[in-house]
Amino acid sequence: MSRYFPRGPRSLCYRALELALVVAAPLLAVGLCSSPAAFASSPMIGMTQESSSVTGVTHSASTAATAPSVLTLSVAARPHDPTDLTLVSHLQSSSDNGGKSVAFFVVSTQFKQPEDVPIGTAKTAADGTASVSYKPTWSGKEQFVAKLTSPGAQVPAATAYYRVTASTPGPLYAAANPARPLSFIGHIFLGVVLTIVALIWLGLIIMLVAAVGWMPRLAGGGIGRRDK
Amino acid sequence: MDLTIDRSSQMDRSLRDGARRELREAAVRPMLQKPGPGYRLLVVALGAVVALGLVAFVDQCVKGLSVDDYSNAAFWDVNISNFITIVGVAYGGAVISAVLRLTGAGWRAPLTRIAEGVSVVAVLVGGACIIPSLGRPERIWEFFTRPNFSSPLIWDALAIATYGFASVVFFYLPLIPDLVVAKQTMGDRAGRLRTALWRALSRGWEGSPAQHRLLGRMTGFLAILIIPLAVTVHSVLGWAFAITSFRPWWSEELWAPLFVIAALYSGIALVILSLAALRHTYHLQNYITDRHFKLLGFILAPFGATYLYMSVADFLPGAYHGEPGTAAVFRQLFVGAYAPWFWIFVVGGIIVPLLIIALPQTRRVGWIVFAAALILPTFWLNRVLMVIVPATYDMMNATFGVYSWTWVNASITAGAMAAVPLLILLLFRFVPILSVTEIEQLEAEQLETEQLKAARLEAVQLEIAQLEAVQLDGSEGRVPLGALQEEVR
Repeated sequence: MSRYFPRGPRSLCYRALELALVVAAPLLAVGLCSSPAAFASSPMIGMTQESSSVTGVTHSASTAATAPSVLTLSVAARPHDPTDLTLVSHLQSSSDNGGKSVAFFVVSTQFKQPEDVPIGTAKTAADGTASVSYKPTWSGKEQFVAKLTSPGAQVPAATAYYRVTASTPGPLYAAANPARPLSFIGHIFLGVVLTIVALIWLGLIIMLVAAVGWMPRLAGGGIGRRDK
Repeated sequence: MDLTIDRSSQMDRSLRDGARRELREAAVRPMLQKPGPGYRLLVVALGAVVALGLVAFVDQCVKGLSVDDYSNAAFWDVNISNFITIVGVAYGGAVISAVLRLTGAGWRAPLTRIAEGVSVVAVLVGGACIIPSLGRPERIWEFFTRPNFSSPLIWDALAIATYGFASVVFFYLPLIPDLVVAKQTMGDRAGRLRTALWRALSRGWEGSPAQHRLLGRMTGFLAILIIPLAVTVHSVLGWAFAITSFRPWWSEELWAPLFVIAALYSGIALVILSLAALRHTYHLQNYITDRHFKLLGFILAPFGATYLYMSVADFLPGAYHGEPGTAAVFRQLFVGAYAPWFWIFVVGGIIVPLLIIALPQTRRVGWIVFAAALILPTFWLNRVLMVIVPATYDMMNATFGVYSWTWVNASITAGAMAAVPLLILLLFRFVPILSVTEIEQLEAEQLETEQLKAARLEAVQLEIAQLEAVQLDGSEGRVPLGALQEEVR
């Protein structure tokens, strides 16, 4: 290794130059990119832009289709309630943007491969905006997807990332399971059972006390005395 | 007409006194006899196995549950099987004694002490068997100080503790008069330790009618109490499985009654084995007769048949429905890796014992003891299958994990199994092996009944003779002779 990378001041300059090139290369690449759609299609860059405006952890991106129709998606938490997210999609097209149906999904990685789990659907307003609320059940970085579902829509799905910092686990499970019958008597039943157990123990202790303590008082004229 | 029983016959009295003395000597024979080399060897061997089990348990405490082969692939293991098996056999002794007391079965008297003693020993050992599966045994007291009432374990602990306490009291109460009898029979031969123990435990007993009445009431009440308590213990055990993590086969509604029946069946088998061993060792053939074994066999058979029926009722709908996990477990049992063990259990634990009791040719002591000796290990095997097969099923991949024997779990199992006979042997070095007072009472009652019958018969025969004489004289035309002759018959 040292044979091909000589030591000394010259090699230090060489390494500094190399490092500068590595750091500058992506910036140059972005700078040379002239298409706004291509710029928007990079989720990392979109994420950086939105993170400054929403809680500092929001990442959003939009996927552009062939111009002029574009669907974008952004995710933000409600103020003072990090467990309640609002997913807002925005449709930009040359035709009428209102009344279009948009489906929202969260991408779950709990299965063998990522799957879109439906959150809900909403109709776009006249300005092309549609939104749904969502209470995340898992913390961590989540991927959200919005798809235009109106017939004939050719707009590709929009994707956004959001780092969930607070979640409410289990609401889906609780909602899917109806209240158990007689669950209201749980505490009463517990009290009754414990009382029965306590009474049994009390009864057994009384018997022992009676056998050891009370028995001598009942003595008199028995077999034991006679046999003595 | 005088129907008073003639108790003054000198010969009858001396015979009765001789029989009484013999009975009392027999009841304290395990304490009178100097232990022979065979007995000593057996006690040492059993003690060594128990000690090995304790060493293995200490090793497990130091190194963790992994030495027992607990893992993600097997989160419950053979310790749970030992626990269920031994607590289960504790059921048989107490319940058989309680039921026979409540039904007034006169033949019960020579069996009750051994049955109740076996029950006490088994519930103590069985209750202790849960400790190795806890992982942190030093926290066991937190069951009671920080109970979690939504956990089945707390109910298990409560039920077993209550049943254990009730078993001890149920064993102790009928023992009180027998301790006085043992003290009188053995005298100085009892030794200081036994004498002090007996004096403390039978304090104030003189056998007065009031004492007998109180003791009878308490024993009767306990006999009633012990049956639902035992049912509760085994039902709670079944439910502990049913509500654990939705494992295949465990969430069966039938498991609670199945556990109760299995406990009765294997418990009676342990009583039969203990009776046979103690009868042979201490020459109790005059008291524990062949008829006792036959009658216990008759009690055993319906429980075996019920268990068979309930097992079919458990397997058939599950196999037909074919829910993936349950189907996989059943496949393992019926034709898979565990099939040989499963069929050994079915044939050895149920079919053969039922046949032995059903056929008159095999309805003999040796065969019935053989049936009991088959039932105990095969039911333990069954409990191992019930625990291990579903516990090793991987519900994500639908495959079975591997659980294997290690020296630790094998030693703990052997130690637990050896502790039961060891403690039974030691127990009867301190208490009379036969329920002397009960046997004497029942014999007295029986004698009284027979004497009453004999006196009545004699009176009726005399009356017939008188009437016949009157008829022969021809003084009376119509005499109810037929009715009297019918009474004699």
